[in-house]
Amino acid sequence: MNAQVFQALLDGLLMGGVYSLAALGLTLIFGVMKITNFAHGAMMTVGMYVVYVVSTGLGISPYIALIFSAITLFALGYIIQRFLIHRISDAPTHNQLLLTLGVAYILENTLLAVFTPNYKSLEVENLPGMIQIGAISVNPAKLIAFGVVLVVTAAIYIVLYRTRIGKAIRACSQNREGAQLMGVVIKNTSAIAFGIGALCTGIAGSLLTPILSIYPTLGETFQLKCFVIAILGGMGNLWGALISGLIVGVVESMTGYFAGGSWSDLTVYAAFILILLAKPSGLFGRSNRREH
Amino acid sequence: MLDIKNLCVNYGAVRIIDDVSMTVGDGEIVALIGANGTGKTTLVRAISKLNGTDSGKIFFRGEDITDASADKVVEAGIIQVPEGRKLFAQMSVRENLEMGAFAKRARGKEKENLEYVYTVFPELKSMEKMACGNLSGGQQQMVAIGRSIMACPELLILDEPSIGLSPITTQHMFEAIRLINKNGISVLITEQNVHDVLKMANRAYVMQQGRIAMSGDAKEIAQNEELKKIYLGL
Repeated sequence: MNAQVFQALLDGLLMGGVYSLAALGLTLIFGVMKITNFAHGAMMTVGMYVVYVVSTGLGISPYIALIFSAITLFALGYIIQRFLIHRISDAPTHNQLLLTLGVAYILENTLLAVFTPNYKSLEVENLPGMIQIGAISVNPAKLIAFGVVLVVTAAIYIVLYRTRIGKAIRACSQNREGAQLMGVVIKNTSAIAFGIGALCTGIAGSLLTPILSIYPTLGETFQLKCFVIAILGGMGNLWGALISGLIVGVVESMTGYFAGGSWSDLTVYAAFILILLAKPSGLFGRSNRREH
Repeated sequence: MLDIKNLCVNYGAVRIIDDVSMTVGDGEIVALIGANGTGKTTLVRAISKLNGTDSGKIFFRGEDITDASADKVVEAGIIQVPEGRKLFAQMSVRENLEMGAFAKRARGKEKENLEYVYTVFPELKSMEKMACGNLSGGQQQMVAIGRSIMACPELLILDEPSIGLSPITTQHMFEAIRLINKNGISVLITEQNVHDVLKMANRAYVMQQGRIAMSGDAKEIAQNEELKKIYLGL
């Protein structure tokens, strides 16, 4: 394979992994609560700032600060679901959606007020600039990010498929009343599911902090990207989100290499529209016939 | 054990359940019959707290559960097999059954209950790994009843268990319900398949437009000519 193609493919996969994790959170929240979390991008930015503050404040590696970010975001997600969204769980979906949008603005503007709109960037000590392997060069921060994504995703799968609470979360997303009739407490299960979803986007954001300069509205671009990935994967389909994230990452990076960076968003969204025209429920979306 | 007193349920301005009182005794099979849209499903949903009530009381073993949450009703021992089954379609048969043992009251007895489910429905054993969404209606109904047994019911509510099933499968299902009842579980069953359910039940309530129009011994109700004509359209 041509080295340039391989380089683009590798870069795309590494970034795509981070997208996948964030979109996994969004699709998980949708699956259980049947709402799109429009604060997902803003939560990601909160995760970035937690890493920034903890890392610079305590002088520790961002990869350790990531743990603080994960805990904070889980708590934030839990609280938002339990004390805000749950209160209007009987309201029409668009109202719940507006609530998450409101949360997004509050988070973003709080970050603006506290941290100013100035760009901030984080230097990671003892991390080489680029690793050269033959004709291919890899950003070690992206490599670490991908590794962490694999570990976190595996951990989330174990929780969802092997633990009692994880099975309850899946049961709720497949049939809410069926779960209720088996004694699942929707209020708590939803809050935990939202917490896990928020944790995903928080960790994704944390992993991007050593790669990108951060600013309070950075999450908006990721919000849309996560949304596109989750829809491509079939809203609520966990595997679909993971694979679609990688696809979007690769499309983006291929376009960047061969047509220029300004074309990548255009290509991603054009591909998105074309795929939806052919497959309206997403690449891995289930047809609605079997749903009850 | 279940004692409903003067229960009313409104849906908007419409009264769906109008002053309904009924009881289910220990070890009984009680049938709730009546034409489509008379409020049978609303009534059993109200017992399981899937919808609210407007006035009246529901007691279970003497305890007021009118304002309890759905999970508390489950923990008290009232388990429902709902209309449409409400299975977890993308989970395997085994996982669905395991979800039945989610309630605290059933956690310790998961293994022994699973064995019991497989003695009632031996067919399920070979389908353990299949996703429930891919099963036939009859197979799904077995999983739904099996899932409810996993929850250690004291009172089992079955809402239209024969809907969409072939006559043979329906017979099979009714035999299973009889067997479950013989093991000491009380049963409240709503049915449109009046003929068969009245043969199985001890007592019956006939609902008409949200009210109890008639109640009594199931055999007597089955013989009632007026009932056959007016309420059941037989």
